[in-house]
Amino acid sequence: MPDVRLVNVTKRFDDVVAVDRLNLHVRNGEYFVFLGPSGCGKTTTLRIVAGLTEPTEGEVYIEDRNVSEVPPEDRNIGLVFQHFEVFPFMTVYDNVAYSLTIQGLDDEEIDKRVHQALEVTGLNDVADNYPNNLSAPELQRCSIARVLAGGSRLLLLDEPLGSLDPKTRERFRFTLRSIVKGRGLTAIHVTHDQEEAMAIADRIAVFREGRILQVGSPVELYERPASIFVANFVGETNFLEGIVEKREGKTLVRLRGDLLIEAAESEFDAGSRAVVAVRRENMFLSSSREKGVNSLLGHVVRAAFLGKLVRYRIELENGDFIEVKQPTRTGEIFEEGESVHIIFSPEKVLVYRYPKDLFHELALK
Amino acid sequence: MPEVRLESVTKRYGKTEAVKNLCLTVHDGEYFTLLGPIGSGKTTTLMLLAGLIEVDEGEIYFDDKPMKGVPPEDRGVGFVFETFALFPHYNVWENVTYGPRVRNEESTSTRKVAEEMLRMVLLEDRPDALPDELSGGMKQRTALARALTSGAKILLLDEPLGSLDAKIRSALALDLRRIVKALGLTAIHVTNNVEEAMTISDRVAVMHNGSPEQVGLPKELYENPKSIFVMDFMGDINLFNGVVTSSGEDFTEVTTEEGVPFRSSRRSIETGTRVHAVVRAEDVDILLENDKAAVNRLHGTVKEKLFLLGFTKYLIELETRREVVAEVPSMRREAELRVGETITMKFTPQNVYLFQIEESI
Repeated sequence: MPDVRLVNVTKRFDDVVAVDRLNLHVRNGEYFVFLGPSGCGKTTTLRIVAGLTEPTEGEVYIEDRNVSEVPPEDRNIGLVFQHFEVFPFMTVYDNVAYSLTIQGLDDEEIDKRVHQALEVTGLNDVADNYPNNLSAPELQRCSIARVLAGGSRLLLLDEPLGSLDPKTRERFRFTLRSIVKGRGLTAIHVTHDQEEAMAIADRIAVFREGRILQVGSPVELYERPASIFVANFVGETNFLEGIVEKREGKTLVRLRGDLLIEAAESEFDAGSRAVVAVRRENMFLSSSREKGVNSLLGHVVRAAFLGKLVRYRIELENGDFIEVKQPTRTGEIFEEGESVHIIFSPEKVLVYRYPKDLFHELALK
Repeated sequence: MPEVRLESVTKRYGKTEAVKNLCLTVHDGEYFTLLGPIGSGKTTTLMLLAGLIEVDEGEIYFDDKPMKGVPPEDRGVGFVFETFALFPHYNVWENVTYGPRVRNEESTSTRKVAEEMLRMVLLEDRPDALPDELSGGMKQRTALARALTSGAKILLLDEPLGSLDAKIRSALALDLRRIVKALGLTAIHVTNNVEEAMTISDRVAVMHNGSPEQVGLPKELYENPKSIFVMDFMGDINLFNGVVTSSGEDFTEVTTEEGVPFRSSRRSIETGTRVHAVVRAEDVDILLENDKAAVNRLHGTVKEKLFLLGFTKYLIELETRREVVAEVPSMRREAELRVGETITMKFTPQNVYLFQIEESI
């Protein structure tokens, strides 16, 4: 069960710093996800762990061994990519057996390992099929079976679900996680899809511009995002701008139009310019005002029935827009044009320093 | 404001029927979406409407006018594709006014339309920007403004938000709808993303093997799905095989393979019929205490707990070793179960959907 440590890893491509002094410890048996938008350095970092890209500075340790000088094939890693890596002219069985044959293992050992890998990936029934008779998820299972048969204990997966249908992708998350957990492997999985990251990971590192902004469990990232960027990238969040006020030890934020909301405790000084963040699903709509919590008035601009949820776009009294997602079965249903109270508890209101650069970007959407 | 009608349209590629005897009417001013997995025929349908490929059988009508033999440029349609297809060396303004310019139709009035469209897509302050200087969302809005400037009354959109980041996609979906509605256009939008389809559309056709499996309002598709395919495509479901043991006017009782008695109040099916009983993940209620009832109850152990946005998803293993998926809104106490806990699940008769198993298979 290998662990992976990155110490001060930097990668520069000419003038561009793709990975910037990165430190990270992925533990034994952990399902770890690198999450971030394109160009954030997550794939470059994975390639550095794999040995496919050489870091400009810093060291990589796999199981306490400095692998900086070790070529990819000697790092004992299994690589899975978005595009299925299978030989079209070989059956599933032969594809999975291929690298073992190259290694010169005896037939009995090969057969044992291949069968085990096919069993785990659920491919026993199609072992004699050729790739062009396989569905996309079966092809991706086949590339995973190949990696498993190779015996590596560290899986590196680069957008492994990227070429699958949304529905299949969702199911495949379970499959991947249970394979990794069932066999006690360590996995590092790269994705830009936050929902996928949340569903599959033990811990997630959120990347931006070559750096890691936050590392934490899905719940931690969701409940305590350390920055506006993380609050925006993980989950669906409303951002409103205002000025902090203090009253009887409480943190209040005055929005434009003099709307006042109470926020979670924070050390912001009165008068500072701030951005408040509230998750779409942490707000509730009601036809009546509620005491002891935040209650804003607005009207529904668009109500979209999504099935288990209804998604509302709401214009507040001050002209700001927010979105709310409400479980269909537990809430009242509102029509477009109706007035509503938007209720949310102060604990769910996070406060961030007003950023010069990023908020502009967020507000523009 | 054109109406779009497809009558028994079939399109073959070799032996494969990509679109099969498709009948569909999209109303004037409607935002209509073709939703389905890869290979369900949705993009082929859009290309047939555009006139980019020819219909093998059947006919397409725009406002009762048959489209056979009418080339794409004379159909009065605007396209938006997944890839933005902007000219990289032209700025936003030049891209948007490209159509009228190459047709030598540029005039004060076309310029006014282009200005209006740029305002509509919130790019009025970026006419000089080159595509490279724009974000993905802005590029797609430019492509949209270009399609709108042509004066087309029918807008065909093939995964127009597909290459965008999830955040921008969700915001732009509402913009798209707003613009289409404001201009009174008819829009036909292709996607494989359920949430996008539900957010943006007046009506949705769920496509399966070359024709619509069901057409309806988003709410209808969810509340009265015609088939397991539709239910499954729209969310997570639990499917049980069983046999009807008794039925009355407004209920059916089923015993599943696992020996669990299910009661459904959705329809009445004859005793002895083999059926699938389907319960959605979000309709599985978790009871914190066993209520001793037997009908519509399952008992199991939490095997996996996944954190979704606003929901907690459980994988629960029954004694028979089969698994059940349940989803609970995160703010409820039932969302705090731990892996290994033994629990009772319940579902109301209204949420047990029944589909007859076709004997012919």
